Amino acid sequence: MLRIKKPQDFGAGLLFILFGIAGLWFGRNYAVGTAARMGPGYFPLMLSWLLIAFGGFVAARSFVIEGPKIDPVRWRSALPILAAIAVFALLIQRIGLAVAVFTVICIAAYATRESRRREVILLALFMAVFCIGVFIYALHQPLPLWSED
Amino acid sequence: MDVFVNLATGFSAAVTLQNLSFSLIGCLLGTLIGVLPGIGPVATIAMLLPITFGLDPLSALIMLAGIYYGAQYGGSTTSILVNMPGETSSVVTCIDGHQMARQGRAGAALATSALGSFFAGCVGVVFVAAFGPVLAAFSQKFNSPEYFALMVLGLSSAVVMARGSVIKAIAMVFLGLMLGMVGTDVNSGTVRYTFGIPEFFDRLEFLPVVMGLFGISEIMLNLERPQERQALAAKIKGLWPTREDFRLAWPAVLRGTGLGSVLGILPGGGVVLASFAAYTLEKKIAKDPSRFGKGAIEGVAGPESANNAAAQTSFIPLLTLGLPSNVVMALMMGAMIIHGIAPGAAVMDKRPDLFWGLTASMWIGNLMLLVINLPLIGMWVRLLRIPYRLLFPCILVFCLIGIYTVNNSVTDLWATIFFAGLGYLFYKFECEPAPLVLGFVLGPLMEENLRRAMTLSRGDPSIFVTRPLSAALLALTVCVILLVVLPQFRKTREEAFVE
Repeated sequence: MLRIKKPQDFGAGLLFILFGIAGLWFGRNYAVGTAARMGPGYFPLMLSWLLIAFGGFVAARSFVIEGPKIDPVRWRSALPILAAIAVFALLIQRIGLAVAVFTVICIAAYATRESRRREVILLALFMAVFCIGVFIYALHQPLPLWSED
Repeated sequence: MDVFVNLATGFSAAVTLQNLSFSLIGCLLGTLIGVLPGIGPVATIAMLLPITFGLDPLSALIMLAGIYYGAQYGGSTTSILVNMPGETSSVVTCIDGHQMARQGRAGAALATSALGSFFAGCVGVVFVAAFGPVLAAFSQKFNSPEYFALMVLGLSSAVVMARGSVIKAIAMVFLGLMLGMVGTDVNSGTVRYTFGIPEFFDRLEFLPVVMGLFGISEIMLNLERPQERQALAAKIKGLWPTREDFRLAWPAVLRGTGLGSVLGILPGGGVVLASFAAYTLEKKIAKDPSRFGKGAIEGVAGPESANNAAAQTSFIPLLTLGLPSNVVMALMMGAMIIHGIAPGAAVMDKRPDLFWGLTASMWIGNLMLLVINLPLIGMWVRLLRIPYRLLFPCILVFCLIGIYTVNNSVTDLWATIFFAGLGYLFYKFECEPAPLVLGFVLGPLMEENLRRAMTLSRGDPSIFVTRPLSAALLALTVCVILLVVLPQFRKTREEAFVE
């Protein structure tokens, strides 16, 4: 029976194939043209096929060569970071820099068990003030301090 | 002696109060992030990029360059004192540097590393000054087939230099090129792979890709690993190396400098490879290799000189050919484009003050680093006591503000989440992201030159081998690839990465 011996390569191969298929699918209407007069589809579609070919090879090889297990995804440290970015994206234009920075730090702190509540709140306050001072007052970056509406 | 006339121009451009202070700021910041693990030059340069918009281009580039080579100095300090490399390029310095520190020879190790780095930096600058114009003149003969062949060579060497599987690295290059396709096709006006998002019509913004793949996913991965910190640094007794140290160190410095200068120019080479290769070289040619790992001074002098030399010479391909050789150079290229400068041979003709000013500032910066580094070591070490749980939220905030301010675009932040997740997956699947970034940067250029070359030859691909220069570049590419296939080199490559 076929057995995946190197899960890392199997995953990587699948990922490449996926991107290749996406490239072909979303590029299906782009004119290919000829070698002498390449259309907008020529190069990307060629790349997509190459991705599928290499991805296929990497995935197929994972049935033959041995390799270590995939290091498990630790949602506890990954998710809070991604969530913090999402919250920053939602808040920065609507509420402004001060609240956005404060919230990002509070959410990101969940990524590690070592965080202590009082310390995090102090850090968040400090960073909010610091960022306003540096980016808005000192560097004149076009960031909304508080949103107008 | 054009070089000296040109360098004089450069120094007069670099020695202004403004440029000197930006050089100092860059060097200090570079040392700071070099000391702190978990944040590297890529993330820092990316964060500071938007701030440099208001600056004069030369000052901006001087500061960003300072961060890059400053980080090489800072990284070695923590490697030696607390056995914790602040940068990947000083990982090997830990092996013997920290042993020296434990034997009470920390001062000697630090001084050797600083002096070796300074010497290497100076030689690197001369290298840039001497080879820059030669390469630039050479590139005047280039037409689209040559540029295409050159990019093939660059990407192939990036693949060879990447850690791990070559096949996966090649696939990563293709994926990068593919991501480079996002945006409007200049020839036909067709909008490609934008999913109707207007922010992508120009092209995929550079910072979300780089920050996502490197900065943010690095934070996520750092948090997974248990943090080990050695609270107490070794005491520093007497900074000056002994006569015996000098005797052993200086040939190693020379070898490291030579090796680093050459490896820095190679696309995909750069500082990490240079330091690893230098360590391997020192160990190979030493009379008594068993001393290594137990505090051999050559094990500090060689790699530290090599990474600094490479940091300087890796500017050469960018400034003369417009080709970034590593991720930091890709960022520098982004900085130049933002300031309205097209990187490449034209820089030297049209903005000689920029090329030579930057070159001169690197020498000045190296001098500053030598002077500021040794007295400030105590302060840098104290900074290490800041626990990562307080550091990472700050790094994250700075990254986000940096990404947002480039275009004031929330879309870029959403793109960052995508690439952070992708970078995290790549790490789990053991795929090195550096080849992808180079492919992403070169994607549009490569397509453009391929198209032009094929139009030139009316669709006949033999144009790449019938034109002598492009044939030579492709032959070099074949050699580079053969190096990986041949068992002899393959073994050394694996060894170099394992150590």
